[in-house]
This record gives sequence, C-alpha cells and structure tokens, in this order.
Amino acid sequence: MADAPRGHLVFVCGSSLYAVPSECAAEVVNLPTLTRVPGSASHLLGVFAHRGEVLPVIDLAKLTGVASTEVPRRAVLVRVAKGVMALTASRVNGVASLTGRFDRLGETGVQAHFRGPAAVPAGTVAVIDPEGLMEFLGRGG
Amino acid sequence: MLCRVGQHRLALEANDVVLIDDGQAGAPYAGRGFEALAITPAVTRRLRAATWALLVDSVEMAPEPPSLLRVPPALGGTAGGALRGFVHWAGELWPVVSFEAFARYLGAA
Repeated sequence: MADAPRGHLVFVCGSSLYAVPSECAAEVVNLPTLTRVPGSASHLLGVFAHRGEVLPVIDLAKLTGVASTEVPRRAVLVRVAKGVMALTASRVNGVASLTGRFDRLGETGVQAHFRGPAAVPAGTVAVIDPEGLMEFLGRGG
Repeated sequence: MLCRVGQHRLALEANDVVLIDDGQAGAPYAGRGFEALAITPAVTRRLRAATWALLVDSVEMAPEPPSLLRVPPALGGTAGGALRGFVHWAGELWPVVSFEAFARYLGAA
C-alpha cells in the first residue's frame, strides 16, 4: 500500500535543498542579531529570544560540512515535542507533498537524521528528521 | 553578575563569586570559551570562587535577579555542561554558566 503524501516545507540552505514535515515548521523568521554561546560548535551561530523562548540557530551548511559563503539571514523555526530550533535558510520554496519511504542518508553522525533523496520541482531534497536532529544536537553532535 | 568578555556576554550567579580583584594570576580568560585563541586583554577583572578563578573584561551587577530562561534541548552539554540558561537584561540575552563548571571547562579545553 502506498504511503499517503505528506506536506513538507522545502527550503534552501547553502547549495542544498532541505525539507521538514509541515506540522513541525512553525514559522519562518528573519534572523535578528544573535548572542554567541560559549563552548558551542561552529554550526551553532548563536541564540535569540523569540516569544519568551531562547532559540538556537543551526547553520545546516556548517552542520553537514557543505562549504558555503552565504551569511544566513532567515531561519525556519522547527518545533518538536522537546522544543524549538531555528534552521538557517537562504530561500523558502514552500510546501511540497512528498510520498514514499526514504532511506537514511547515512548510518552515523548527522546524516543519520536526514532521509532521501526526495524529488521536488526544484531538485532533490534531504528530508530532515527533526526529533532525531534535535536529539543529535543535544548530545553535542 | 553580568560580565563582558570581548564582544561577548556571560552571566554568573553572584553567590558563586567570593572575590573580585584586578589580578590575573591563576585564572583563565573567559573569552577562550567563545574563541579558542582569544587573547587576554591588558585590563581584566578577576572573579574568584573557593577553588576556581576567571578573568573577564568587566563586571556589573543586575539590581534584581532576572528570570532564568531554560537551555534549549539542542544546546545540551554545551561548554562541558556549564550552561545553566539565559537571562534577558538591558535588551540583550546573557548566557548563564556555572562558575565552577565553566572554569573547569576552560581549564580542560
């Protein structure tokens, strides 16, 4: 039996396309001035306060090791049960329906929390597992 | 206790600090928690606890304890577990760290 299509918010970071399940994509924001956090990894650009919460800003290009010279100015706020994180985005493409089961893009490390590749009109996209990614980041990944 | 460290900010619980003086001996510069190669400035303030000490650029006291905002789950384990939360003061966010845990993290880093 085929999987029902699920809506995903598709966005660009660096030169790559990413997608998160629509129900997890809370907001798209312009990034304000960020506060640096001591001892944080390079992919954590900083934090900002938003609606009473402190949100970490994760640069997906740095996290995945893809070279990028762009300075992120926007972010997709991704909300899961444990909390919210902001994933940098240079462009938000909108919602696309993705169908099918996708394999993990890696067995270990951050790639284990991306699935795909999935096809969208703009190209192929890596589908983020938001819960898994937040867990990975919280363990110091 | 609100500390400026170069262009960065750091907050400590005042109860953790026993003494503030102008010495530099026996204390790591807190700036190295933000940038590994941060150079200790010529003028610093030394914060001392029972066992540990830290150098910062300047210190001020918040007249009232601001509310502590929780550490986002994605930041768990940051700075060797020294991060305790954030406070909002004078329009800015200040990361709050455990004095001892942060000093130990800098010593180990």
